[in-house]
Amino acid sequence: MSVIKKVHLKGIPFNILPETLLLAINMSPIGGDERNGSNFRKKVVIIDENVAELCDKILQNLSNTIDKDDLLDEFDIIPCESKLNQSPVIHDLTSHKVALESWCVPYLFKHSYHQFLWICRKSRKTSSTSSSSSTIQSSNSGPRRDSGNIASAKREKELSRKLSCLSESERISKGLLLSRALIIINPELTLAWNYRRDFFHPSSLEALEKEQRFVSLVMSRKPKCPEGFTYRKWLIKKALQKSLVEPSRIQDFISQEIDMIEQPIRSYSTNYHAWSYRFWLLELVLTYDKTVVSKDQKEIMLDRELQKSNTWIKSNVSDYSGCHYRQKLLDCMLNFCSDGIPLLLKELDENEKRIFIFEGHESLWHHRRTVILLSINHLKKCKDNNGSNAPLSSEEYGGLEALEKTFQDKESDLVQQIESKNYNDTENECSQLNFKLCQAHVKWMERRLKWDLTKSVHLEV
Amino acid sequence: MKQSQFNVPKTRVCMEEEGLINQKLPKELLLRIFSYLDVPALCRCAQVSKPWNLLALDGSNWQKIDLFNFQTDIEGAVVENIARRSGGFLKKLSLRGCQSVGDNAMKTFSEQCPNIEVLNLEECKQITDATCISLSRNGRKLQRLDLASCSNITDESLKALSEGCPNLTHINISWCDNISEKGVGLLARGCPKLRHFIAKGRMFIDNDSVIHLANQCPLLEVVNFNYAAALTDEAIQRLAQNCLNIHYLCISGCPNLTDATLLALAQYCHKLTTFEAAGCSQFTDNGFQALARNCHYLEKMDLEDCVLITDNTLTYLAAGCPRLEQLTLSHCELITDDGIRQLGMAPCAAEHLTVLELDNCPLITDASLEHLVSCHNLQRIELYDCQLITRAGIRRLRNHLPNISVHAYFAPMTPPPPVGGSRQRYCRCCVIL
Repeated sequence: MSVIKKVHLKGIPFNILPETLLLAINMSPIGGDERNGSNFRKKVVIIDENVAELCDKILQNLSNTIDKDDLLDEFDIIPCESKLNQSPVIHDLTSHKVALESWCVPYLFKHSYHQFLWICRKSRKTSSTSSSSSTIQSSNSGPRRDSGNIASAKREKELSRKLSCLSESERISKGLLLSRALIIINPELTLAWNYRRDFFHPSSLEALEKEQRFVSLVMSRKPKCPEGFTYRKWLIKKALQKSLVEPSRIQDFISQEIDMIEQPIRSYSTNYHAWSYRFWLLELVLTYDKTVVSKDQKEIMLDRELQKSNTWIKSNVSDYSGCHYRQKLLDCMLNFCSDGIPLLLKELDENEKRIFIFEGHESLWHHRRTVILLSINHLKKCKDNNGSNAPLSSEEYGGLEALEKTFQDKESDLVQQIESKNYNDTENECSQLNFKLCQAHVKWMERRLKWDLTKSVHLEV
Repeated sequence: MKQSQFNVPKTRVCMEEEGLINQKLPKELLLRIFSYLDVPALCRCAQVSKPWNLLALDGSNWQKIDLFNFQTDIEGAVVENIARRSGGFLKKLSLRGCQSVGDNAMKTFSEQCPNIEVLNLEECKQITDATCISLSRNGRKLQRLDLASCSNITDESLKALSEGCPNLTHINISWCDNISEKGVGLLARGCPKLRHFIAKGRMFIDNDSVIHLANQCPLLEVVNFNYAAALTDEAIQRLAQNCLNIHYLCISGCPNLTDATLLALAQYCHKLTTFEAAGCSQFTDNGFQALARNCHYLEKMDLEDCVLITDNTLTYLAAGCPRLEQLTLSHCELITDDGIRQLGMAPCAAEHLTVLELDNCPLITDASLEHLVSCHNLQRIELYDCQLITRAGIRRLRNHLPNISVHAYFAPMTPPPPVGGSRQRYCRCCVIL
């Protein structure tokens, strides 16, 4: 169980609004005429009672929409002004999308943020006093306020008047509702995520899956949000810890989550967090006890992932995060199956093909290097084992020594081909780049692997 | 300055054997003073000195206790201590939201405090039937009991209460999942003096239980059957016939009820002041015509989602209910400007009408707002999603009724620039020149 970081509330200034919101405010009529950054702070939305009511209503609308429609797959903020007397929560029932009109976002965010902070403070207070509650402690009520700030003091007073009539459980459900709205508008707000960690207790798998869907909805707008991925990890851990998932269904549960990850991966290329989360999930299955997930199942899963990542790399050659994922997969596969050499050779072949088709993509070259390193290490390991369980196919290639030579020959072949193809063709920029990358590759091999290819190749630097 | 003045006599007092204030004032007076303090202040006083401790923790100061502000901090031991200290004095206790209080504490409590009259156990989720059984054994004086959201309470509790607490007048069993219609029947048999019966949000209320209630408890005044989806006309008819004193009736979320319900209410329950019927989608103008003709004291009406009603209902209400204060017509899609005009001209409009909810009425236009100009008391009007309403219309209404708060989905107006901030263009001498 990871230690949940508590964010200190005191240090958070009230007027902080994330970049997206600044944008939204600039588009809305309030800040429209003045784009000057320095004047902006004075113009930040003012929340009076009427606005608070409006925000509560919108909040309720948004929350109802998310609760009602289980198939929602996309959320966004639409830049537009308020012209009609119409709910700013736009819900497309047929295609299951939900959106918020931008004019309400600053108001909504500010309003919910204040209320949320109040609730956070309150819940922190009760959790700290509950340990020493044998006598009734005097509650000199009201959170600490900054001295001299009359406006904020007044607002605090108003808030505590409004919210202190809520009972504990009502307050928690309100906090959950607010944190959800805050997260969907600004997923970078760690405080809101942490609040959900503290107070969202999934009692059943359905509740948990609902939460997962919500995180996916958040990621449809911000596919690269690291907080979201850590929260997802937490959810998975929670599910396994509380054994919400039956042991026989664990593999399905994880592969379902892997499928859900496809969407943020697709909507933002080189999404590092998504890929590393994906590998975390896979590792979770691979390291699971044999009695729960059998070895065959693990191998099937690994195989499926290998195929999937292959198709991904085929269409996204410059996504090194995807390549990285594949390298880790290969590493796993080498440990898993008895004979990994053909796999590695095949990988190098495919990579070679791509290097020729998609010229000048550095990530392909980097991928190649890692695969070579992987193979060399693998060979070394086989050697250390004294050949007792040497890979079967090493016989075909004539022993381990000969295998290393095979790899070496492969590289020199590649370098030769590139040289012969591109040496005189200086017109094509991509080819030139490819040529340079190839030179770097040769250098790297010299330095790292002590392979001297210059004998066979006449490359001039 | 103030503090130093205060400190001098205090230190002198501390040096003497017994405080000066204790010599000057008799104990009775001190007790009287303490009786005005709240719980934290009393606890603080109890820590001053031994005599004060005795006085502050005297049972007479602890007749009414509300522990809502402490909620989760309250544990069983606290309640037991309070019960021991206050004993027979304690008459009112609210443990609303105190989730850590369990059966054992409540058992000690009911044994120590036999004179308890008002007990609020809302959201004490740990208590079970054992609490109610011990209450029924000891608390014969119990009049009001609130068990809302206590999910472990079952029919056994109601049975025990019906046997041991014949004086019960108020009961709240909202959101108690484990109660069935049988329990309600038992309760009705044992507590004929029941006046308030509140059972929100659950399906366990059915026709039989309501008929039992109607037969056994003729004194009922406040009845709440929110979301009792199984109810039909027969039950409410019986209720209306037997309980003529009903002034608050909530049958929101009972979609099977028809105009027959309204006719029965109109015939018998003339004292009705609050009537909530949100989601009763079968009610029509005919029913409300009868109701408006007979129940002249109606003050609050919630007709949300009564989709069949038209302007005629408003005409009848305007004519028959001069005391109308709050009217909710959300989602009543057939309402038009004409109905609002009738309402605006009614006798209730000028003096009483304070809240009008018209959200999601698509036919309402700015003309409606102009008809409402004469409602001087109007404080709040909801116009969410009425797409024919414009900003200009709202501004015109605001001009006539400056204190009104209008709720619509328009972006809030930019506040006027602060007056003090803008500097004068000319210096003073230039102005003089």
